[in-house]
Amino acid sequence: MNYSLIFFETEAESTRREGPEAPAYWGAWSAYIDHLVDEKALVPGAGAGLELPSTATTIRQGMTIQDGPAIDAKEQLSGFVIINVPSLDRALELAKKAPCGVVEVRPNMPSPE
Amino acid sequence: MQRGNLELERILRGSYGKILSHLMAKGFDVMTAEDSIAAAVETALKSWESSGMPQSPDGWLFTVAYRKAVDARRHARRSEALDIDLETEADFEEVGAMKDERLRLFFLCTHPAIDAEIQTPLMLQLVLGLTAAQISELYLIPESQLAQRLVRAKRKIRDAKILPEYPSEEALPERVGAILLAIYGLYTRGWEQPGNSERLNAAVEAMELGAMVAGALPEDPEAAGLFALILFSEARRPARVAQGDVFVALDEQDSSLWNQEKLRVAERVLFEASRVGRPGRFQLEAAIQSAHVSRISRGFPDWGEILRLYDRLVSLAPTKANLIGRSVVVAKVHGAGRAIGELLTLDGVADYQPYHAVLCHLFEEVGDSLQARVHAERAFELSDDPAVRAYFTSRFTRY
Repeated sequence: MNYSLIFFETEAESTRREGPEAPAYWGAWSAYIDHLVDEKALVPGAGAGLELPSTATTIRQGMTIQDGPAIDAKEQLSGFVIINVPSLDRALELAKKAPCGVVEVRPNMPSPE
Repeated sequence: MQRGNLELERILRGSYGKILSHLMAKGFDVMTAEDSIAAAVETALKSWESSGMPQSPDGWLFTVAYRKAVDARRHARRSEALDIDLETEADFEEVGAMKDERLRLFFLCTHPAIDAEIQTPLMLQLVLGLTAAQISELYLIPESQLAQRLVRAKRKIRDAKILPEYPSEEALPERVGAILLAIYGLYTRGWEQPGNSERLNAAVEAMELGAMVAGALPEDPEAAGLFALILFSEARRPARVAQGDVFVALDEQDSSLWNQEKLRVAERVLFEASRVGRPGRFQLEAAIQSAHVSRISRGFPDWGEILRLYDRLVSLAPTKANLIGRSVVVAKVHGAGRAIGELLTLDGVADYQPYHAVLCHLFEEVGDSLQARVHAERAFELSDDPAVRAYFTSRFTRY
């Protein structure tokens, strides 16, 4: 069963991407992705880290174009991966280890047969 | 689910959770499994009418439900998608002889990914097979609303694939704690309002669930503690309401009305639990009940001992109910004045009925009838139980 792990970061977390904390930040993320690979959970190529929310552009009802992310919230979408595991418990176990404050675990819809 | 056959209902009550957990163990999701049991029950109502009750009714129900589930899945997908082996299935499997896997359902229902509010109703449905209509009576909420929330929870279990698994060693204490708290919540629903016969069922269901969990977790003294606690309370239930639906406080209860058999079992269960040497809030609450009950032999309870137990209890679980329970004992040991002083320092109890009930008594004891009346009125307003309301009416019409 496929689940999306959707990562959210606060501004304080995402500013660590640059500057003195950058090595620790990126090190933690690549270790985490390696772990998902080692556990044979990561669906190859399914997922991405996202640039900062300030780079986002939102379009509403197909016409209004706005600067910024779709939802104004303290925690912003920062990336996602898709994993293939047998149960929610296993997905939660892997999600817990992500190096960010908030992770949403959402089952993917089954692909049509 | 269609009901109406008492014998069938009795069988289902004892076997529903077993049949459901076995269907889920065979790879069916919770909704398919439940629908199949419902279909099997419908078949049973027709078939048993004409050909009589089978020798192993629960085995019969399991087998029919299993076939219905296989049919349903075959219908939904092509048969090669089946991940179950149809050939090896013995007919009319004996459910009673299979390992009791209902504990898995308890873990499933109290999974942290499920809305906390719906966990106990879900438990009543999946473990005991109660209908949404029956559960809505226990919770005094509209059936349609409850049914909707139950379906929402079951869809999540199915779609997010929450499996009826045992938690990891590391998560076990917390997950068992969640099960015990859910049962405890049900028990307090049944206990808070003694005169209401619908609430009476909540306590009975809690006792049944408590017995199952204590049996399934023999090495967990808190599971046993909770079961003992419920038994102690249930043993005293006949003495809690006097003629005319009037609530009787513990001190004034006629102990000859207490159920001796339940008390004996409770004492034994609690004693076995205490030998493990890991006390907890439920064992302490049960020990307090046990100390109260000892007045059968001594003629009066040992208030000093009860206060020591309460002190330990409130340090572990400083809930409103425990703090107020303790204050009653403080009054016995150190006088009503001190208990009133302690109670008036508590926060967040203004709308808590037992707080006012106890203060009413204590002010009565120190002869402050003005304050006693104020709290009797609040205790009356905050209860919707006729027995409790009648009790406080008798209190404040006195002054």
